[in-house]
Amino acid sequence: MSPLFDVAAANAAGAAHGQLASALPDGIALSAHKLVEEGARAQLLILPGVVRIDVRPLPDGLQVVPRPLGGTELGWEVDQDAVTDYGKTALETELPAMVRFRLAFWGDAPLAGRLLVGYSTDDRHAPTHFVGHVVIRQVDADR
Amino acid sequence: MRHVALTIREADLDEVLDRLLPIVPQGVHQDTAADGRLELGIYGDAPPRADLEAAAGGSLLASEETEVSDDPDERRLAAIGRRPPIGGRIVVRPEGAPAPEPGLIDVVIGETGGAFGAGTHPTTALCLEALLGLEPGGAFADLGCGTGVLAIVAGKLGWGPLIAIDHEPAALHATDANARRNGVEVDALQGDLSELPPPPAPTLAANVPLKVHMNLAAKLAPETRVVLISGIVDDHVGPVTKAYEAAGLRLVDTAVVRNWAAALLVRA
Repeated sequence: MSPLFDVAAANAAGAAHGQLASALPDGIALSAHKLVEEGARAQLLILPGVVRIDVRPLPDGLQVVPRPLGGTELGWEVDQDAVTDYGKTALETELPAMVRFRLAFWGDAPLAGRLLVGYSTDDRHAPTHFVGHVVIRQVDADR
Repeated sequence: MRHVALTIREADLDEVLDRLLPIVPQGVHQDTAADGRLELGIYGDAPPRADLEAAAGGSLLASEETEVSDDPDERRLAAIGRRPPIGGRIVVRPEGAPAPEPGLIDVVIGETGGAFGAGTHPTTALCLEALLGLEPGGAFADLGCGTGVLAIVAGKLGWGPLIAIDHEPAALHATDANARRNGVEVDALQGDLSELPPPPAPTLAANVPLKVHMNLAAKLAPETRVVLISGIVDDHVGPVTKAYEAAGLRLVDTAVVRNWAAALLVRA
């Protein structure tokens, strides 16, 4: 198991951000929730030494910024099918709005991740309620 | 409520945020940017100002603490009032935000109804900046108009008549309302630009996704002389430009902000 999957370190780093970390047989799961004001960039999820996931709600779009940490090389792409209803208030959409990403971390021990960010707001320009969940696993480089 | 403004070197943003965001759960506002300087705003009583300044480290150029309204809406409007004009000349603002100084092009965008184009997105700003570099005149079509901001600015700069097309009814309502609010006459039409040909206007602005560009380029009218494209990431500039070049245009300029791209093409 990669030493980067350190549940105690992830819980400590995310303690002020509502983050909960738990171990998986081959990786780690992180989840968090928070309210973010329009225009503010805020940390949502963090795995020390690997990645920090920031969110920034704007009038013209949602920024989700995966920031590689500790020299990790990061690749990511949006799962287009899961992009729903950004900019609509809870009165204008019945669906929970969400976006999904695929993450890949290259290095001596490659890692792969799936990220889900759900969000909703009760009024335009009001703070956005975010829920984030990411699962990061070891990749068998021989496969 | 306390507001701490940290002015840092823009080039150091990522490293400063690496230290700042972990200690600021409420997040950091990037309020203004000019001349390589960036102002980061932190609202709320914690953490102590000294900790914020320490997080900014050697990048810190200035620091200021003020008391501001507890109302997030008032704070939002005040922050909009501090934004530098786009291209030094255009201010796009919601109702209630402070009016700019005389001489600037003032565009008031009311409630968008969820339509795109409040003026904060890099693609909108890049298109507006590019418009300032063109010689205005003749018909102008805003394709994928959203709030109608590009058509409205084009009208204020001297283009006309103005056409705006979008497939979203909310965008057409927003464009109609915003055009009236800004004293500009815009003909807002509903249409699916991933299938329809673009109108034969001499100047087109298309802030639309990749697949819409591919359709527009394939069906471009010979009367169209200038096309301003955006709505795409920098990786897609190559294929989109190639499609318009196949229609007889040539690339004149490109600009990229935060991976979002705009390009200007003219008929060869």
